[in-house]
Amino acid sequence: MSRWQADDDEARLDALLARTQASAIAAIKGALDLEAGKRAIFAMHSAGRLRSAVPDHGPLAEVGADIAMMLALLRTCRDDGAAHDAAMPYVHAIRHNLTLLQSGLPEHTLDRDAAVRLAAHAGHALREARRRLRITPVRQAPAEPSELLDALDEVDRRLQALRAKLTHDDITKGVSP
Amino acid sequence: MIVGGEEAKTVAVADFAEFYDREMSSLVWFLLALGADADTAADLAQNAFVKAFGVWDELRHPKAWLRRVAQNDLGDLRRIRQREAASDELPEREDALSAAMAVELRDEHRSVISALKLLPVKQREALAWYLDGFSPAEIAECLETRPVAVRQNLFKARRSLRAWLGPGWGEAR
Repeated sequence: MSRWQADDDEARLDALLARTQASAIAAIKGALDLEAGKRAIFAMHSAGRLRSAVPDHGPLAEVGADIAMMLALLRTCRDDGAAHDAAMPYVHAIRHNLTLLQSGLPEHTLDRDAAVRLAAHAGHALREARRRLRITPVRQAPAEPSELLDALDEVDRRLQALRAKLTHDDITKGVSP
Repeated sequence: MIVGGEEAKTVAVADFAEFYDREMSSLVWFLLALGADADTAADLAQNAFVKAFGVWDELRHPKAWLRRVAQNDLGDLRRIRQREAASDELPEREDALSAAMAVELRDEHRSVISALKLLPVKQREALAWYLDGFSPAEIAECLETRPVAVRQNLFKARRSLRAWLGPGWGEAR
């Protein structure tokens, strides 16, 4: 291949990548609700709690990061068929309780009892989701529910650590009256 | 002019809002180029902006900072998934954003995105930063590596892409 041919290939690849990037960004822009995204961020940081609400370090920040990770784990599970469907209402319940914790802890609107209760509800839903995965007959594929089970195992481990922190550490201090 | 108190906060919020409008979609693309599925990319991008707003007035290079945070978060997510899975990829999911992109993107562009996901992680990272306008020296600084390593990864990534895209690539307009 001549040098000119190589240069031409490079230029064509650059152009193709640039077109792909531009098209993808345009599609993303069309699908995302940017206003809602900004509103969510401003709401989280509202009322002058910019610094105190979401600390960069410390137990509350660690808990926040842990909850975000658990939610991400539950979001990235493939739809695995019948057993997955049976467990999904409980997975939604886990997400719901974790989301309440995620928003309530940095806002200091949850006292320790309420936070522990939400974590317990999440734990109960998690146990039920695992039970459903195990008892639902697998018809479509032998390894059907394994991915969600793996995610639930990891979330369970993190949730137990979170419950210990909520129970023993004073991370809910500063709760609004 | 020095602005203080509420006025400074209003300026910061307006700045941030403008930055969010300009960069959010690009950051989602960046994560897609790193191999995330669309919904995960949107979540991680939003999460990075949440963190950015908390330190907004301290950020000197917010575009690079956001990408580092998002890339690290994606790496954390991958590591957890990898404990049980053999693949280094996050699972593909059909979600609203993926569906929108499937409709909007041409076959050629979908092929490029699929090909990006086949690249080794280091090459994918180098290319994703490069496509977002960072020089090899800047990429090296952000990824804490040497510029020569970035250039090598870019070279290999581009060579692999050309091979995978097959004959006739890049001719469609």
